[in-house]
Amino acid sequence: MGPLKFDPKAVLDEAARYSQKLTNGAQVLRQLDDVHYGATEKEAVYREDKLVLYRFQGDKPPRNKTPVLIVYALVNRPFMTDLQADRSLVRNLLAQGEDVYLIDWGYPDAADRCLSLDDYINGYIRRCVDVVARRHGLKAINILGICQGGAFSVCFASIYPEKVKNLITMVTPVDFHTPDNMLSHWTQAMDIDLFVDTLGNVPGDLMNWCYLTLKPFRLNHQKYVGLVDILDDKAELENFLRMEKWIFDSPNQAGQAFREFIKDFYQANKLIEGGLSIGDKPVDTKKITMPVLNIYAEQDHLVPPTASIPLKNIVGTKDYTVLAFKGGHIGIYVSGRAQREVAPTIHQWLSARA
Amino acid sequence: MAQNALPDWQEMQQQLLKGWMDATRSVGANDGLRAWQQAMGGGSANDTVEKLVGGAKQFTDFMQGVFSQMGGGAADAFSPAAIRKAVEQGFSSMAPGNPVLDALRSVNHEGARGFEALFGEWQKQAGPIKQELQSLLSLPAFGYARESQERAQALVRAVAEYQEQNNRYNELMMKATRIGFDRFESKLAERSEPGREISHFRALYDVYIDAAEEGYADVALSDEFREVYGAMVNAQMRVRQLVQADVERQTAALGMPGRSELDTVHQRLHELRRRVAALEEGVRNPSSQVDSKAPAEAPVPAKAAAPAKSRASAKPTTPARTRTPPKPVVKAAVKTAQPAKRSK
Repeated sequence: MGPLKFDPKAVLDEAARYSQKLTNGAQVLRQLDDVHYGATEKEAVYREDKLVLYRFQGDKPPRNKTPVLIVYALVNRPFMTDLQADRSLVRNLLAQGEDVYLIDWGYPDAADRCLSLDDYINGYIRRCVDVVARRHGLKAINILGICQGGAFSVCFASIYPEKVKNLITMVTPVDFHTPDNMLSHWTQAMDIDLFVDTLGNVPGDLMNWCYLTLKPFRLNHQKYVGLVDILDDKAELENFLRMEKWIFDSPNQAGQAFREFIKDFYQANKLIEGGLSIGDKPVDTKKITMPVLNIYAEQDHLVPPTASIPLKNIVGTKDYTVLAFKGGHIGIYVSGRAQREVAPTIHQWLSARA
Repeated sequence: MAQNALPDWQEMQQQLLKGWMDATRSVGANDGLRAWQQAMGGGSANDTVEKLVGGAKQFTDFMQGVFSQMGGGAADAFSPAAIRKAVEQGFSSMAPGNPVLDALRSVNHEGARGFEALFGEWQKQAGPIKQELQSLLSLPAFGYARESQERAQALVRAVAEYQEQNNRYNELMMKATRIGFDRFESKLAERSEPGREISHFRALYDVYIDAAEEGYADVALSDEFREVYGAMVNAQMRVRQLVQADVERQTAALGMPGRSELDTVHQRLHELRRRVAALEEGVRNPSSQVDSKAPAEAPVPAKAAAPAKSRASAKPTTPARTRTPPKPVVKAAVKTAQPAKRSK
């Protein structure tokens, strides 16, 4: 026997459906409006350089007294957390009763190439935390760090533990030398000084290319073959395009910060090996004694679970909780499961530590 | 599948082949897809339509490979090895018959550009110069033009080095292709077990994608790839640096500012802002020992408008003079700063 057991009629139907979807899809595509992301009302409460600190506005006043500050990665835009009304971590947190702030890093240009991790962590993040804390008359607030922003938050909580009441990390890499970390693998033999000195800022388009080549067939071919299935469904198609818009809207990376992040985190793995300093401030992760909730995605190809799980071993807290989410790096924000699980888990965990 | 290749089955397969080809020809086959894409015109989804057409083209290439095998009617036409061969032939029109390289190249589109595309842009600019330089490579450098000739020779050597490293990279992608097809054949053999057979084309395509990704991952996670990838990127950066330096010399000769000059200005401005900001923070909070940065702007309620989007592409630059910015030396100033009212 061979591997193919085609029922000719079924396969002919498959061909006809494919053809029909393309035909109908042509009509739907012509009717589409521009798609946008960022669904929840928000107020800008602080600006500095290209950074804007937003406070989101829920339908009802927040119940938890301590606000949550979302610290997103420098790569991609932070509005994955608020992609659309029915796929929004932010909106779900607000609905649960949290008071949510978010740092929008903006789009660095050539004049920002000297921005270092010192500027980002000891500068921008520290001041945003201070602004939020002052607005609420608090000494410490909750921080929700995401991906690279999670690694920044780990550094920040190590340097300024008195400013962080509770630390939540989502899809956050900590151990950059696990064997399944393809991105890390690719950076090991790169001369990062030569790279940054040559490019200045690192183009967002190049970053995107690197991410897409982690799984080139799945992310560049199979995904679009599958798109034909929803081509005649306007709402689904708009969801798809909204995600596409987010994926390809990548800011350039400030050269100096990129250099330091790749050398200290990816190449030297200093969060695990030790010896990390941000500016002149040493990062001692054992000073993270506040409660920690670490959320990772089981099918994450960008930040493998093995890169996130070791956070437990490097922090000093006795109150450590972990949530293994069944999904991927993006699904953790936008999937139906994410809407049901992530925000309620965060809210319950914070409420127990209010 | 030899056992299945009975006359009536073959006849049905022929009908199937004809039916599918008719269906895809109307909108799905490659020329039809292009026409379909053009009919879409502009609009918000244009980039996505282009990617959709790219994916559909790959899918139809894949299917045509399989169909051609089915149409042959050979007794062993449906064995895993035969299907593999058919798909390989279906992809033969791709970049050196290499689906992996094709997949990587097709990632280059609006919003994503890889190293090969970056280098391609450089080649567009430097193509005419390159030919001229090539002829200088073997000439001994002497006389008043010695230095410029040496620089030109260094550039030609750097280009050759990059091409060599890029070839090594492409060879690894060919290896990934081979492993991917081996996996494809193995997976097809596994699916030959009764009850596990593949019953529609998309499922067959998905098996191929799984296999291709596995082959690619095997190579991309290897020590050899790590070394080759780094060498390829580093070699390209050396070429770019040499070109940038040459352009900078030419612009300097014309009295125009270059990348180095701008870098110096940016760096000095950055340091100055850090020092001023730290002083301001010290003034606002004299008890602090803060020696890092504080906002040049005071926290103010901001306008609700989102920041203007500025996506200027990174321009090639000459090497930064200082790799690690010097620390601001402002501690003493902060300690001695007198309290002052914050200006409104």
